[in-house]
Amino acid sequence: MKKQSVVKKFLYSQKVAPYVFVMPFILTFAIFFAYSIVSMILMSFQKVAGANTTFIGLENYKILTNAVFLKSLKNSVFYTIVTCIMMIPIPMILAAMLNSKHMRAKGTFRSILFIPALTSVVVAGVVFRLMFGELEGSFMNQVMNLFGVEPIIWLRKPVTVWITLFFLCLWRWTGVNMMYYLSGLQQIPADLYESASIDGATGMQQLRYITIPLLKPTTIYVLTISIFGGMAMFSESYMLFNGNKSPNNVATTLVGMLYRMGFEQNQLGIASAIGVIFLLIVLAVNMIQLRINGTIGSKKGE
Amino acid sequence: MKKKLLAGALATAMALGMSFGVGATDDGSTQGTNTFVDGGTELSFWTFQELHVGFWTSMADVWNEQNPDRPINLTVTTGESHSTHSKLLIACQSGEGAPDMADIEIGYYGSFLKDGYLLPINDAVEPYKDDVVMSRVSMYGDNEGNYYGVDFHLGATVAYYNMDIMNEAGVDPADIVTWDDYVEAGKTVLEKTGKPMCAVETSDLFFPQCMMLEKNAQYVDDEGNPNLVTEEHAEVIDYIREMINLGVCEIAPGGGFHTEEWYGHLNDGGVASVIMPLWYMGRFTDYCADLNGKMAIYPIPVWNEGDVREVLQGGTGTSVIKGTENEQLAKDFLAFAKLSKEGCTYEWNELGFDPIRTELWDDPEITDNKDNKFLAYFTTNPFDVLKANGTDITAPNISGAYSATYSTLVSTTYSNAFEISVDQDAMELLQGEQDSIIY
Repeated sequence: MKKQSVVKKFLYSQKVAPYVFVMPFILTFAIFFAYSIVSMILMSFQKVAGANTTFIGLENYKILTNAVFLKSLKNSVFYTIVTCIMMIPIPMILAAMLNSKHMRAKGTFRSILFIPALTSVVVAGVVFRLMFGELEGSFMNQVMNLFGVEPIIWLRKPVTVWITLFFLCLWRWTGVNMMYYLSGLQQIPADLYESASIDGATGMQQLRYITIPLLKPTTIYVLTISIFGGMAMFSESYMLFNGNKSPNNVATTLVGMLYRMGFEQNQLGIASAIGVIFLLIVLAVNMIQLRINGTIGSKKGE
Repeated sequence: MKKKLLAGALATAMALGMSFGVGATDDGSTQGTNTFVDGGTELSFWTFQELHVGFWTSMADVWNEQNPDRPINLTVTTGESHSTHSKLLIACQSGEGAPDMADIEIGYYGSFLKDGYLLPINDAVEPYKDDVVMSRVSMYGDNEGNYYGVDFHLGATVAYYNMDIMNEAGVDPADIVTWDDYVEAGKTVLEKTGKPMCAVETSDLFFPQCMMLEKNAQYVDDEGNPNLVTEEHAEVIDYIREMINLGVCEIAPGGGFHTEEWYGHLNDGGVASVIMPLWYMGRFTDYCADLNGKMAIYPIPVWNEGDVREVLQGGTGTSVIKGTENEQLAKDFLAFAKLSKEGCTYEWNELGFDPIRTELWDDPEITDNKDNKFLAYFTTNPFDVLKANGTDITAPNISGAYSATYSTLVSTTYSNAFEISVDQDAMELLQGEQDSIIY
C-alpha cells in the first residue's frame, strides 16, 4: 500500500511530470543526435577498421588539402549561394501573385506549383536524367530544337550540369518556399494596404514598403533552410549522375564526397572528418547569417 | 461512429505492420532460395545482380544432389548495386549482420580486401587449380599468395565489329592486328561511312585499361599504392586523344558503355566497333536486337605484332565473409559453384559468361551449340579467340588502393583526359589525378 503511494506520488508529482513528458525527445536526441555527433568527432581522429580501430591524430584532416575535397566544397558553396539567390525572390513573387485578389484559379496554380515537392528526389532525379539526355530525342534537346539549337550534351559539361541542377532545385522547391511566403503574406493585416492605397501608394510601392519588410521573418526562415538544404544537397547529384559519379566531379558536393569516402571507399575516419568540417561550416554560416539579420544576439532595445 | 471505427482499424493495421516489419523489402531488394532440404545448413548470400540469384540457387541444388551429407539451404538477397555494396561494407565494418558469402564487384573489391573482411579460400580452390585460368582467381588475392575470391567469368577482352559498317567500308577485321592497323582501318571506315571506328568512355575505364594491360601496366603498383603516373599510361592517353582528333574514336554517348544513350547509339549502328570483354555479349543480346547476326567477334589489336591478343577485364569476385559460422562449407560451395564444370556450363549458357574452366573451350556441346543465344547472335565464335590465346593472360591488379584509384579514374581522370582538359600534357594531368586520390 505504501509502495503504491510512492509510485503514485512520483507519477502525480508536478516536478517530475514535465521531465517524463520531454523524455521521448531527450532520449531521441541523445541517442540519434548527441551520441552520433560525439562518435563522429571521435571517429574523425581514428582509422576506422572494425576491431582494429586506432587513433591517428589529425591524419584524416589532411583531406582539407585534397583537390577533390576543395572542389566539392566549392561546388556546395556555389550551389547554396545560387539557390538562395533564386529561391527567395521567385517564390516570393509567385506567392504575392497567388495572394492577389485579381488572380484566378488560385487553388489550381498552388497545387501545380506544390506537387513537385511531393515527388521523391530519386524519381525526380531519374526523370531529369532522361529529360536532359544528350541524344537528339531527349526532351530538353527537342525543346532546344524548337529554338533551332543543336543537341546539347547536358550532363557532361560544367555549365549545363549546373543549369540542370538549378532547374531541378527550382522545380522541386519553389512550391515549398512559396507556401511559406503565402502563409507569411496572409498574416499581413489588410488595413495596412488599405491605408497605403488611401495615401496613394502604387502596387509596387506597397510591395516595397509593406510586403517585403513584413515578410522578413519568413525570409529569414526560408534563407536558413535554404542554406541548410543547399549545403546538404546530395540526392539530386547522386541520382542525376547514376550514383555520385559526375564527370570530373562537376557536381560532387560535400555530402557526396562524405558518402564516397565513407560508404564507397570504406574510409569512415576521413568521412567523419569531412562531417566535422561540414558541421563547422554550416554552423558558422548560419550563426553569421542569423546575427546579421538580428535574430540572435540582437540589440535588446528593439 | 463509422469513421472512428475506420480510423481505429487503420491505426491498428499500421501498428501491426510496423511491429511485424511488413515492408522489409521496401528498398527494392528481392530474395531467392534453393529447394530447401531437411537438415541443410543455412547460408545467406548477397548479390547486386538479379541474374546471379538463379545461378546461386541452382548451384545450391546441384551441390545438395552431389553432397547429400553436407546439404545447404541457401538464401540469396539482391538489391541495387551501390546500396548492396555499402550495406555489405557497413555490415563487415560493424561485424554484425553480414551474410556468409557475397558477390563483390571488382571496383569495390579492394575496399573489402584491404581491411581484411574476407576469408582466404586457397584450400577450396586447390582441387580445381589445373583446370581453370588461375589469373581470374589470383587477382582477388594478396601479396602473400592468399586468394579471397573467384570470378564468374574469364572476362577476356575482344573486339566486337559491326560487319554492316565494316563491309560498307571494305575492311576485313581479320586483317587488323596492331592498334596502328586499327586506326588505319578506322580512317577508312570514317571516310567511307562517316562513322567512328570506336568509342571511349569517360565514366569508366575499359578501353584505356585494355591498352594499358597490353603494355603490362597497372593502375596500382605491387604494394597496392596508386600508380597512375606512368609512361605507359601517358602513351595510352595520347594514343586515344590522337584517335579522337582523327575522328576515329568518339566519346561514348552517355559517357559509358552501360547507359541508355549508348545502347541506343550502338543498336542504331552508330559506331563500327567496341572493345569490351566477352561478358558484354549479354548487353548485345539484351539491348541491341537490331544487330542480331551483324556483329563479329575478333581478337583485340595489340601494340606489337606477336603480343598476346587478350587481356582480362571487369568482373565480380565472390567471397566468403569473415565471421561466418560455416567457413569450410561456404568455401567449398563457392569453389564448386564457380569452378566446377556444372557451374561454368551454367554461367556460359544462362549468363553468357566466358568460362574460366578451360576444358569447356574444347567441348563441342558448348562451343558448337546452335541453340545458345550468344553463339547464334554473333557471326564468329568467341571460343576461337579464347583458344588462340591460351591461359597466360594479364588480369588487372585490384589490390590496395584500386578501389580509390578506380573511383578517381572513372569520375575525373578520363573525362579530363578525353573531354575537358584535352590539351593538358598527359603526364601532368595524371600527376594531378594521382595527387587527388585518397588512400
